[in-house]
Amino acid sequence: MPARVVAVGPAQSFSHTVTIDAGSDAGLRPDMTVLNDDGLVGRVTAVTSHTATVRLLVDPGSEVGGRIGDNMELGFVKGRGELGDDGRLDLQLIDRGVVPRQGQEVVTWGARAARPTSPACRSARSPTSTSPLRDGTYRAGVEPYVDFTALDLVGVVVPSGEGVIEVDGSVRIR
Amino acid sequence: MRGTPRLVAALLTLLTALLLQVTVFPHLAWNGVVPDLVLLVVVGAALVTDPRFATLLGFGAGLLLDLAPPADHVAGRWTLALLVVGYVVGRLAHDHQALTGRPSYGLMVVAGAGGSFVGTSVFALTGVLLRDPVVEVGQLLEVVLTALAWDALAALVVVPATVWLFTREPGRRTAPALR
Repeated sequence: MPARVVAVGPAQSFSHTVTIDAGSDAGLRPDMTVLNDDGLVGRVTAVTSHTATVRLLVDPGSEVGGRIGDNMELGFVKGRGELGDDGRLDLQLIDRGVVPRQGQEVVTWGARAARPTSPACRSARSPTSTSPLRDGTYRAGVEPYVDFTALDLVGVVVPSGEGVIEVDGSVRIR
Repeated sequence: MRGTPRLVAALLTLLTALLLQVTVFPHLAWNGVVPDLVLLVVVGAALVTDPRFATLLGFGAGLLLDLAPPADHVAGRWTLALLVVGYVVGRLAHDHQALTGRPSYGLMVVAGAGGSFVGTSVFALTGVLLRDPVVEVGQLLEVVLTALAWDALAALVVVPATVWLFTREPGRRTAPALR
């Protein structure tokens, strides 16, 4: 479902949200995944009949599951809510022994819990800085692929209406 | 301007300011910080109307900012911030001004900058109290100061325009012809 960004919330509100020009009339519901051709953009938080509010990945209240692309290590990608252009996301891995290296790609989990099933998509690249946290876990600053200051055309993952792909791969017709 | 025309003018101005703020100005934003036009309209109106109207206008303007998309924070935070701005600016303008005509240009810009600082700070502080969202203090200051610079710049145009709107007397030119 394609949509355009029509309004951007000010940074004075300390949250990073945008409004897109598609709403519940187009089948959008809260918690749906929003992408563009660069990667993951964010998640729908509220819908009206013709608009929807999207919480961006870089919002300080945003946290999505992510994993490192080449070694499949699981972790969480959290928005820092920072204004600048670098280190806008934090990656925290579950395995304390693994330290992310520079240049590795981070993808999000295929969101199976979200409706509908969203494909795994790349969200960030190149851990730029790694700082140790307590308990020996690491927090790495990662760069999102998406340019959040130049958002325009985005896509929202909506059900096609023909069927639902179940966890075992079978298609259930509604 | 008084009564219903003033209310209608206030609503239309606030709506225009809000739309410009969320649609046009993000393209000019510095790191996402845009001039807070709605706040500046409240400041401009507070300079030339009474504190009671200014406070109510601040309340209404804040409510608009809280509820109109893409707002996603706890509703009521901008309402409180702009209510305080409307009251403080209205009170000060009322107390320190010999109610004769328009305030000077310099005063308008200073009021715009001061209002911006108070408004954004109150909003930021309520965010700290409610932990919505969790942002570091250094970052809060960065945003508040950037917003201050932007708003001082925008106040050069927005506050005088609002003052002009709220001080003009509708129908003054046509009144003699009717008699």
